[in-house]
Amino acid sequence: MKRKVLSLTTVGALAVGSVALSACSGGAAGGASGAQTDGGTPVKGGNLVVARAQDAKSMNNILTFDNTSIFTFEQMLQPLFTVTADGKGTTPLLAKGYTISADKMTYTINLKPGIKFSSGTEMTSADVKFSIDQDTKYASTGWGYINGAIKQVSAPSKYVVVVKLKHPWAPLIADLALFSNAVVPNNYGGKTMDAFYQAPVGTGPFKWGEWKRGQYLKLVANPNYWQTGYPHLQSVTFNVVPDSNTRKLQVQGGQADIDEYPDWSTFQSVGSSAVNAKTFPSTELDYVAFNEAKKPFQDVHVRRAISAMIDRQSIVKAVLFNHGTAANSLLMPGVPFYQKSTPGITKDAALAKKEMSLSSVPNGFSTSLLIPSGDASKLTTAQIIQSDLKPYNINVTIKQLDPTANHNAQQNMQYEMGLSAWTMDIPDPDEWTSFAVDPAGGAKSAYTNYSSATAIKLNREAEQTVDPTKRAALYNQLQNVTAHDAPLAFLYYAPFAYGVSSNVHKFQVTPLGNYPLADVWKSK
Amino acid sequence: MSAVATLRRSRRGGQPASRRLRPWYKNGSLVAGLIIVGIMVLLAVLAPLISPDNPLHQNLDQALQGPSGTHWLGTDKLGRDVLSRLLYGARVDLKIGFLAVLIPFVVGSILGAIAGYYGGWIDIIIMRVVDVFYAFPLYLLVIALVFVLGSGERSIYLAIALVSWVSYCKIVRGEVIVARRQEYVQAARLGGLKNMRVLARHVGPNVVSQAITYAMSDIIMDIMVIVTLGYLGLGITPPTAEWGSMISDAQEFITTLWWMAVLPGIAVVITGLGLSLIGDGLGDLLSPERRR
Repeated sequence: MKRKVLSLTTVGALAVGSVALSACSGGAAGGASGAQTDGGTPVKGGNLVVARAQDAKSMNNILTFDNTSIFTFEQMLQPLFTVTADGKGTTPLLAKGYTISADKMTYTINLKPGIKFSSGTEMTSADVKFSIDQDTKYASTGWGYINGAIKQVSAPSKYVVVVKLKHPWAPLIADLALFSNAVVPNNYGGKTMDAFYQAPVGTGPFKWGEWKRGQYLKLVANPNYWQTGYPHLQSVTFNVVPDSNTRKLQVQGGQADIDEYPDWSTFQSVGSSAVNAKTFPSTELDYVAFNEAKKPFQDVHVRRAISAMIDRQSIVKAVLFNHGTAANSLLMPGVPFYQKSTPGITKDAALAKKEMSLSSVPNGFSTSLLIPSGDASKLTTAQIIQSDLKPYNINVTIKQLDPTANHNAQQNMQYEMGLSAWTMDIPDPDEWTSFAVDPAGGAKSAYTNYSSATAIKLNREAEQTVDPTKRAALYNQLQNVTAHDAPLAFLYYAPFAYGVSSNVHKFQVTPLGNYPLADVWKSK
Repeated sequence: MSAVATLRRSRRGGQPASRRLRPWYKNGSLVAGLIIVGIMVLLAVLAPLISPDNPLHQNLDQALQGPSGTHWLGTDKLGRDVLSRLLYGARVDLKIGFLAVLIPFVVGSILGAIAGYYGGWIDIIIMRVVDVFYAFPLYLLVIALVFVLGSGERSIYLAIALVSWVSYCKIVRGEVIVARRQEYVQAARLGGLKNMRVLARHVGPNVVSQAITYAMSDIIMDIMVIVTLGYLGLGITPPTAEWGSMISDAQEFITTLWWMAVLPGIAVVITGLGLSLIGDGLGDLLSPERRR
């Protein structure tokens, strides 16, 4: 579920593409029941209590990679642009608009005047320049790689920021919408970086409250918020409640308003007269990675055979309790350029037999499947795959390592098959495709060693193609190639699950996983 | 577990004369314990014959069913029969519990006897090593070892052996220190018998009873270790049925299908109770007061 870290070397691979993402083709976001029709007049005040499994790690928006932290500091720190509700495009937030030079090398961004930080000082172009430069500076340890194409940021006047690029790079606006480019006061208001993030100051609807690590983190309404009338809530408290059953009971009992990520197994029982069990379309793809550095996975027939043995419907049923859909493509339905007709391999006994007979190991073999320990969903998936492969004489040992060791084993290619997942952070497929198919991206093609000249060429071309139609065609081809080569066995697309108390209104989660709380309100 | 592990000597009633004559089968705790453990072992051994289904057989259409005629205790997330998994789980847990005690028992007792009998620098070296192992919390050490060795049955044996020999060592050493000052040992030594012979033939039989009594509670401890490791996902590799992983798998359903987690828990408790009773009974039966 957690966001992956791209390494620095992916910088060069990151996209040259289209800004007009929202205009591009893309399948309908699947499995949604997220749309909320909340009537009534918003009520002022109240404390929203979010019960979540883990505590946030840090409020540092340029160095932090875990979703719990990200969803928290996003309530305080805002970027110039933001992702649209459907997760497929961007819209101005602190920016008023922008213009692009004819050579597509210079972006001139106008800021909305009169925006104040929670401290009361006005936000100016100097703050924006400092924030973007600061993000770029930490490219090797943080999110700064995303700014790889930026040559220089300047602040010619109070409300104008000019971004000069090294080469044409259309997803700039999508990248500027990433939380790591959120605007903080110039020079951290005179503080050191560490001191500043102990109590961060931003332009968001909420400002820093207090943090009792391991127990709760509280944010309070920002009285200086630039959108008058918002936020409706007086405060938000993120309580750490590791046990899923306890979270459920707290929301049902009224001690908490939102249950973040209820277990799918109990998801149905989360809902009651007072609680809505909600799913929101996401960009999560769960997959089996085949390590091609280990035999026999360098053999495309073995990968295709295994892909054809896995019963995805069973996994969707046993793991997601039918709340997700079987995956057919490298891209997710919530991502621009997803192609619904991609011929991803599904369970097909005849194909599995045929591919096995063509493979280097027609009589089967023994291998292992690596999963992180303590993950009930992955353990269930692994046991289903184990039993799916057994009839073909492929004996799978399930290997469990604690989450950190599991991650290291994947990165160091010390595994044979592994279960993993990806969610998008920006509304552009390139973040994922460069990670997944381009070995030069530094991640050895999602740690599989997959190296297909065709796939690499298609991905690079798609990065540099500005025309959305041509770009869509390239991504179609790329999805077809990866469906055929099966470097990953695509398993399922899972939505985000939330238990939301029925007195909470307007709570929405974007396909990238974040949830703005400015217009959320609580009825009495 | 410390309460179970506490060594008890029989000092009840102050009537050693009458107790001395009581045969083992009149020892209530011992008999009760043997019956309980006997039934558990029998169920485990006969599991292939009496369990209604293959414990690994998945049937996703029948997942998460309540108790019924076909599945007496219902089915789990993958549609596997809970009763069958419970019975097969006993095989794994009991087998490892009993086997894992052997090596630490032998190694720890021998080292403890040597340390206690010879004293001096041998004692100092052995006991400082014991102190080092004692300084770590048991589970921390076992988990660290399993993590290094990789999960699986062999690692569990190894980890338990490496950690739990120290208890036997301490117990036997203490007993030997007392025993070596006793007249029969002094006599044997003055009679010119070799140290090894004195230790093996005269001291050994008189001190081993405490270690045997402790071993009973240690089996419970080992079962707890296996169950804990299973619960943490570091124990027996799936899909093998095992009580700890059954509890762990069922945890997410605790508010809806509570029996799935509670039943393996009860199995652990009953086994623990049986072994505790045996330990208690053996303590009475083998205590030095009785044998005097």
